[in-house]
Amino acid sequence: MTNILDIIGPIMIGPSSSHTAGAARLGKLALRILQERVVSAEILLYGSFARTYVGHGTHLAVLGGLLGFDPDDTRIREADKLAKDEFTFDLVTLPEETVSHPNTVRLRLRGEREQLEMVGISVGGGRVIVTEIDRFAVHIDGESTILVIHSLDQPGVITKLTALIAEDSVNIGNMNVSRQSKGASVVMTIEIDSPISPSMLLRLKAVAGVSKITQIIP
Amino acid sequence: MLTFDILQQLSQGNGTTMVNEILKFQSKTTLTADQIRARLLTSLQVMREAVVIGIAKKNSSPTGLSGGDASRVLVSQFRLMGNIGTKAVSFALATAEVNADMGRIVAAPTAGSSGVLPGVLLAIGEALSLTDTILVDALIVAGAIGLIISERATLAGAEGGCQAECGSAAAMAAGAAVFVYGGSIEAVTHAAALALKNLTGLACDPVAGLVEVPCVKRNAGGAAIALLSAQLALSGVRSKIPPDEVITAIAEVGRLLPVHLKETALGGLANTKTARQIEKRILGEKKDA
Repeated sequence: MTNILDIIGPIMIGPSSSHTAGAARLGKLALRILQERVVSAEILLYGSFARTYVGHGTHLAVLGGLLGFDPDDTRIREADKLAKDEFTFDLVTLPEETVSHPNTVRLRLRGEREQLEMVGISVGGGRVIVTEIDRFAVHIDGESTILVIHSLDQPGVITKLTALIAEDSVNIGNMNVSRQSKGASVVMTIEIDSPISPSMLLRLKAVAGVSKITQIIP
Repeated sequence: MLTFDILQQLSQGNGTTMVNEILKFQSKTTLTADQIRARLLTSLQVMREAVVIGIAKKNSSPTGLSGGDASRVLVSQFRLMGNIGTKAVSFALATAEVNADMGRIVAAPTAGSSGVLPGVLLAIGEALSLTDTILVDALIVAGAIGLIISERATLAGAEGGCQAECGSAAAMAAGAAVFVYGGSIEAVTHAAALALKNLTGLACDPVAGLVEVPCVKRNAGGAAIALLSAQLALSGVRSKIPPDEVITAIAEVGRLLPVHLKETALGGLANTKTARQIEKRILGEKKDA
């Protein structure tokens, strides 16, 4: 997983790969999972994020990500001013709250149609993991192509989805199903070796029980 | 796992032959050698821009804790460290100041230690009028050293203290410097080891937990140690402890360092009276680090 470009890189806005670059990546990942422009955002910072965000610009980086900026975009510096023109946001810091990782952010986002609650952690060197989507545990690092599927927890859904993915000649590398209780709804994350075609995405979305599909391409 | 021994066996040649062997070895990417070189050329340009911006910068960072020292050093009448040494230190400070000021830099290997490698390489590059092709090759040599350290020890201050960040950066820069002067791969690995040995045990004790004090100035220190180590290795000085064992040692020292000295702002400089005052001013009263 590590190569020379991970050592000499990433190109990023300082000062911290974990507290700035990683925070920007998490913001942008959330925007991609929401799949539309942000209308309102609640940003909850925990642990070290909550304690040091002023000096590290963690809040600016998250806002920049929500505006679609990459971690090397110099507009991150003024992302709070730029975000104000685009959406409303609240920043909440919870330094005392117990979290499993010191660099944790929870984002509650609303778009015109969709909404998303996402938890992400920044694990160092700009690398991040999305650990929760809409209260379902997931593990998404944004480094491989992945499908995030919201569906009902009922027999046959997985079989239909995987059969269709195979029809597109796409290989599945890893798959995870997360549910809160039996028979309710689930969030599936399917790691795939290459992206699914737009037409196949529509067919996947049409599978009975599926309510939402997001493809994240690194 | 990559080791200095393996690196040495692989790269018996020098110059581009050596670099091509290194690229072949690090095959954990789908990118071709040309693609890697193209990306690193972009990184080299970002490194140059950061140095220019940092030297021109007169304002301080958002916290008011850094800024202006790069130009102070560069225009000073005192040049105790000679042309290359003075420039390397100034360029390292410039990059670290840009980083603290939320400017664009290349993590090498981290953002907190991003000044060391460009400081050393760009100063030597100017003095010897090196081409970008050679400097990109030098970045590959530096990257290989960083890879070895990351696989066998760590590059994170939170895990290994500042020896993992500025220490690794100095090792990478020392090896890269030996490379551009035409040194053998054996000299490259010893330069890296000598740099690490001189920074073993360095605490990571950032004031208020921010990548600024003392990080900016430790980038200058890392650049100086890198040049020292390169000069020793090029002169034929060798580490008595083999380079691979030096890495084992710094991994152990990193584990043994108390948590107070691993980016927690609990000990060292971060725990001084002045640091606590700065912390209060910047972060407000609430603090439970």
